[in-house]
Amino acid sequence: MQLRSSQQPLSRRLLGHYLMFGLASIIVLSAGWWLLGQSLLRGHHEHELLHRIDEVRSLIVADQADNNGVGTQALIGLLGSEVWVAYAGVVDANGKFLAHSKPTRIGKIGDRHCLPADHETVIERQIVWKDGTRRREYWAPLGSGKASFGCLQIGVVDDLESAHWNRLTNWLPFAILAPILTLGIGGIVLQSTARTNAAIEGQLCAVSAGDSPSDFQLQTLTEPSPAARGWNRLVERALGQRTTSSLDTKLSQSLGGLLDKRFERILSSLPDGVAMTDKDGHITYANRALGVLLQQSPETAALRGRTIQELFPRDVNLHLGTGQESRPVVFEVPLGATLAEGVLRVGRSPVVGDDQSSTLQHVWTVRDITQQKLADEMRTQFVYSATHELRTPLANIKAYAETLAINELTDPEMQKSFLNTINSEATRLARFVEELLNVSQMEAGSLSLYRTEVDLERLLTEIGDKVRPQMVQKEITFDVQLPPKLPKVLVDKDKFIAALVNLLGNAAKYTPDNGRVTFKVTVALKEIQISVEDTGIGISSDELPKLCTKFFRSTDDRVRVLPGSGLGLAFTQEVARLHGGKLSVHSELNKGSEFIMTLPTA
Amino acid sequence: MNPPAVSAAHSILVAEDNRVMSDVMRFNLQKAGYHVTIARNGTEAWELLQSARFDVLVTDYQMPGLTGEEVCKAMRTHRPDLHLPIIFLSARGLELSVERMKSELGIETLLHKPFSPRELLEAVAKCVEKTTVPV
Repeated sequence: MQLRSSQQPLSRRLLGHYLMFGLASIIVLSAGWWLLGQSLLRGHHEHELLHRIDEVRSLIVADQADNNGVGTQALIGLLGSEVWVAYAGVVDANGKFLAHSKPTRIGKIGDRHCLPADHETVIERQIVWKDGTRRREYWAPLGSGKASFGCLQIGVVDDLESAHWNRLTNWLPFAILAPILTLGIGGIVLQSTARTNAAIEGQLCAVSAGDSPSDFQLQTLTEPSPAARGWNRLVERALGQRTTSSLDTKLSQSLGGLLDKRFERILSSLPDGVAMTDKDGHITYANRALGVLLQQSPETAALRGRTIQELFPRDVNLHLGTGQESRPVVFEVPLGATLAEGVLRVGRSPVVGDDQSSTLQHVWTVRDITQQKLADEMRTQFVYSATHELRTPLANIKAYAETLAINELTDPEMQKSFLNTINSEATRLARFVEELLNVSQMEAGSLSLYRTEVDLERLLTEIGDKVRPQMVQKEITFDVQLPPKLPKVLVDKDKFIAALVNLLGNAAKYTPDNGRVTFKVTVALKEIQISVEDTGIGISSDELPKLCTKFFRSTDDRVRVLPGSGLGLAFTQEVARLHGGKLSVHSELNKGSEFIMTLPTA
Repeated sequence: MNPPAVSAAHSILVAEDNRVMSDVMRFNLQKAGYHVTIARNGTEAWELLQSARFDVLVTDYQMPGLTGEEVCKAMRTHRPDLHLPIIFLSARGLELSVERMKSELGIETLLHKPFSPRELLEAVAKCVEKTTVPV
């Protein structure tokens, strides 16, 4: 119903109904009128006819008497024009027409079937004409007795309907046009009246057909009618509200966009990889870090639609247990055989979607824990190394002391030698503990400097003197090259000495007998460089980067046989760093090494 | 206390990279009447084992060249005929399982550093007894 009404505009429907009912009523009225006319006509016909004949007869008689029949022809003419009269005439006693509705017949002999002398009253006669039509003829005597002068002949149209019809055909065009014209005018008036309502109805239909409550276009009307004015007010109010509500929508949309962007920015700035997968495991979102961590393109859009497993190298299996999707899991994924190749910690947490449906999405986090793993490994190594380094001198001390205790040593030289060994091992232990302390302070970041302005020349000479006995012992040429004028520097004297003694001690330790160690200081614009160069065993290029790592000791057998904690260079480097300088190394295996400590001058 | 009595001239191979330690072991073992040979590292020890006959092997765990463990493995693979009792020395902690080393390497005992010279002598004496009794 609603559909059908919406197919045709209101004005056209109204017009259709109006015309339909209008035509129907015209037809019904016409038919009614026709039937009524017929029945009335028939009822009154006979009576009226006779009455009319009497009337005309008396008029003619009176005219004959008064005016000698002058007005008779006029009277007959008048009679002949009446509907029910086919023809009329006045016949004298000889049957000659004195007057006739068709004036051409005047003076001619008419029908002699009925003569005035023959009767006193009106005679009715049926006549069948040559063409088959039937007529009734009335013969009425004019005057009575001797005064009788003729007869009134009236031919009556027997089928009055056709007579009426004939008459009506003259009016037919008008009879058809008039109702149509009236209906047309009525239609125009109706349409102009209904136009406002039709326009409103049209818009309401559009509103009802719209998809969403806000999805419609309302228009104001230009008609001057009160209905249009009322409608216009409604539209204005609705439009006003819509503007407000659309403003709300826009505001929340743009705010949402802002929030989305903010989250996006936060996520993309995370060092951890974050991804979201749908129920099929395909990535719906991935941040920048994920691509970078998994050595994929940082273009996050390129990761969408792929699975997490696909992003890992082919030989890495995530071992994602099936049936465990609803539980959060965390696992470590090594990317290679060694730690240095990378270890990732991958977390997967289930997330129930916005629609609260059971379709499970997952949030993935990927963190690079390689450094952490390496640090863990290093710490373990540190403990191993420290234990070993502590135990070795301790074992020696214990062995010698017990040997002294259980054996009765008569040789004082041997006793002295044993005690000396115990002493030197104890010293080694003490030095190691000292280094360990320094390193632990270094580790904690609490290795602090007590900096004073020192006379560098004196300090360097002092350092040289400290290590000279070692050099002399191995017959190493110890070449000290100091510039004539040295700048004043602010250093922590004890740590500075310890660091340089370390470097010179190493040089002496790892340089074969009769080698050469050069201790050289150069002064540049804003820094001094203290170089320790030797002709020792050198360091292989593989081991050079690890040189200053705590507890690192070369795998070279020539190093392994010599005692050492692997902490000295780490300490020296830290001291240089704390002074705002650095320690750099150049070395060639079997040829020698050069350690350069660079310090800024005040 | 007197060190345990031994029959003359059992030959002991000591593989120890730390000179100070090897010196004191040599002193104690010689004083107890053993014939002592010192190897400075695992490789040297392996070479000596192939060229001469020893009654007991005392070896450090951590050594340059071949480690003590590697020496033991090499011996089990290449010279199963030696049936040499082995005394292990280690500065490591409990991460070395004595039981595992006994079953896998066939060692006799493990001495944790620092150990007393008496413990060493007792362990060596035990090994020597084992090798001499059946003969």
